Amino acid sequence: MSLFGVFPKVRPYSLLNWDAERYPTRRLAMPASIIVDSIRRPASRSSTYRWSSFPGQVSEIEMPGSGARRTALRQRLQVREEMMAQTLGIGAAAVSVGEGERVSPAPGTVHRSPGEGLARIETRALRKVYVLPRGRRRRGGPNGAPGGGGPAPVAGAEAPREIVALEGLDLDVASGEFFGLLGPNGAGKTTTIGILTTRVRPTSGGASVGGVSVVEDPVGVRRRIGVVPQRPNPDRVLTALENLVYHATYFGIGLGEAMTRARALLDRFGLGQRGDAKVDQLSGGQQQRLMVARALIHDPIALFLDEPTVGLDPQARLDLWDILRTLHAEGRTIVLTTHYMEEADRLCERLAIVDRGRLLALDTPTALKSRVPGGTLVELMLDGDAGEVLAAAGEVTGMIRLEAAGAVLRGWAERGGEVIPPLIKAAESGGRAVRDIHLAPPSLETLFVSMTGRKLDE
Amino acid sequence: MSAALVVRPPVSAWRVFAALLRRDAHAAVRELPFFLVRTVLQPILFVVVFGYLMPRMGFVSSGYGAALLPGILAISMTLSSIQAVALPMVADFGWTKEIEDRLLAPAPIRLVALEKMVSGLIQGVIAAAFVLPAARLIMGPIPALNFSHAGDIAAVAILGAAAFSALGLLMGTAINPQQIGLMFSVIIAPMIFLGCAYYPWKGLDAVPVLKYVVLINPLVYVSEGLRGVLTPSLPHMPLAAVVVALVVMTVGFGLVGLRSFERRALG
Repeated sequence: MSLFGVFPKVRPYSLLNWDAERYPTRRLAMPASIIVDSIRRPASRSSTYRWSSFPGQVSEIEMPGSGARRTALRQRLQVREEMMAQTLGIGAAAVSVGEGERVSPAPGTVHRSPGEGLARIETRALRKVYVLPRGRRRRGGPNGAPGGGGPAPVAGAEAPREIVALEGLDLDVASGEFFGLLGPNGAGKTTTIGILTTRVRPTSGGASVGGVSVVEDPVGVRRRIGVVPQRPNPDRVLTALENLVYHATYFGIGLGEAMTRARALLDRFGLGQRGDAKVDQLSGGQQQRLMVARALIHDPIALFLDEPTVGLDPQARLDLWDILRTLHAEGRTIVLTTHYMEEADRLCERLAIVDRGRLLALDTPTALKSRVPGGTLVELMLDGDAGEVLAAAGEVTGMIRLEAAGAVLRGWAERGGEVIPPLIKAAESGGRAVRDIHLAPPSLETLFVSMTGRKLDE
Repeated sequence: MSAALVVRPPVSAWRVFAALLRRDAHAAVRELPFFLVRTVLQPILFVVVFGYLMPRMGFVSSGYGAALLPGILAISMTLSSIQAVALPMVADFGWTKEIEDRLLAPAPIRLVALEKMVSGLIQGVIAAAFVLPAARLIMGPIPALNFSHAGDIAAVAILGAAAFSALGLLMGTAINPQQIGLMFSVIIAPMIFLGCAYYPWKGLDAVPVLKYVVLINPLVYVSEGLRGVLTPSLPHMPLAAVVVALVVMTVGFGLVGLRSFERRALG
């Protein structure tokens, strides 16, 4: 549906698969026009436009290169687009912008409450299929061997050439939300982050950040995001400080300003003394903090972190958690992937549990935990097939659910400790010996096991 | 605090390009000694042996220096331009992933590749600028050497470095890290030895088949082009042919290289 009606589009904007029923929008919850309060043109070749987007909220944008006549029109269009995008969280058609001029949104523009869309992230029916080069197979064997946990190859062909990483993922992350993607290795978390950060092309479906499509305007998305990779990938020719400074310059920030920002970020993340160090001289935790600093140097509105604490020692992990909480408190939208359920539980406001490219559950950690079937998970590792003792174990009172997975007898019970002796007896009566027993209190981990029959770290 | 969060304004592609180039310049200056060893040492050693020692031993005529000098310059450009682009890229895409911070710049992905090509071009020209005076000093006076066509010399050098950078981009995106040793023995070594660097193309009249096979090698045109502008009195390929061939090769390698870069950069 076209939101801009008769207004010509200057650039293709998309509100991907906007689902008005599912996401009720408010009409004209904002001023019908934006008035530019002031345009400041300092000696440097840039202009600062200031306007009041909502009562009590003054917004500013700085646009580079005001001087040249040739770029003036283009710049005015950009200003207009930026103002609309910042105020509405979506793009808009273009008119000119001058001091005291009105910038009117297209009539009937549909949008949500003020500022809400600034860093809104969404994916719709997102699908990604990796086509393997001929002759190469994925490690771990075809058809998701038990415990493999990898993306399921397409069935049918004898030698699978395609790996389905995402199978129609729908996600909505509100602006300012701390959102977690929890799942085992190969669940599709990294692919999702890759698509949202414009580094992976989706096979089909759509994704957008702040209303900007990752496929149609990847450059616009990159202006909005900061990315912390799974494994630190600093520019090793450069020092820690230079890593930040140069990254800032890629975003059009001048050297002086970049230097100020870089020093402030190094200080903030406890790297103030290590600015001149080569990145190889930094510890793993320091390198990861440098990556977070780098992701922040251009002041993105949304931050993506792909398993940022893998390989960090416990203290470094806690330090990073503190940093992330602070960044979130500043109003930044954060999307984090992890396969540590504790991390997801402690940090995220809402969690999507994904496995094999599909969304299994999406809710707050507390609500998710309340869904755990019957509390405590009891696992008995037997010396043979657990299926044969399933019937006997079913007689045990207090069991809510029982299942057999190979040599593992898995059950949920309100009071885990009480069912252990009768369960052992049941197993032994079936001719099996119990090798090991594992109890897990209700947690995201047990929820995941109940949904997939597998563990997060498998 | 949330009111302070705003979307970064768009940045012009030129500005991003300049920032990327500045980063590469910074890295190149920091690694200058390695750069010189990597790109200048081998040509200089060759000059010492064939332009200084052997003429004095009487194994080659003293006039050989005139044929050798342009070829040596061309080789230094091959080594520096191709390596400047290809080596970091093979590592970046293979395992370090360092280039990802540049791929996140708010500019089209191709701009990053284009900048790498320009950076390689500049490094090639700089390597040649180091080798030329050094070689002339070691070899002693070369009567045929003629600097009156400075503009032409610069043009051929830039075109040649551009062709090698474009080839470097293609190789950097097409080669796996495990094959990097092969890149030297299977591609660069034959290129150098069959690149008419150590002998003029006209000399291959003696082996006609080879004379036409070597035409796929960009180094042939750079060597011959530099002969045409540095020692115009000696036999060389027509300059027009050199220019056309180098432009075609730069565009050809460049386009395929850009596509290959994009394929590697985007999953």
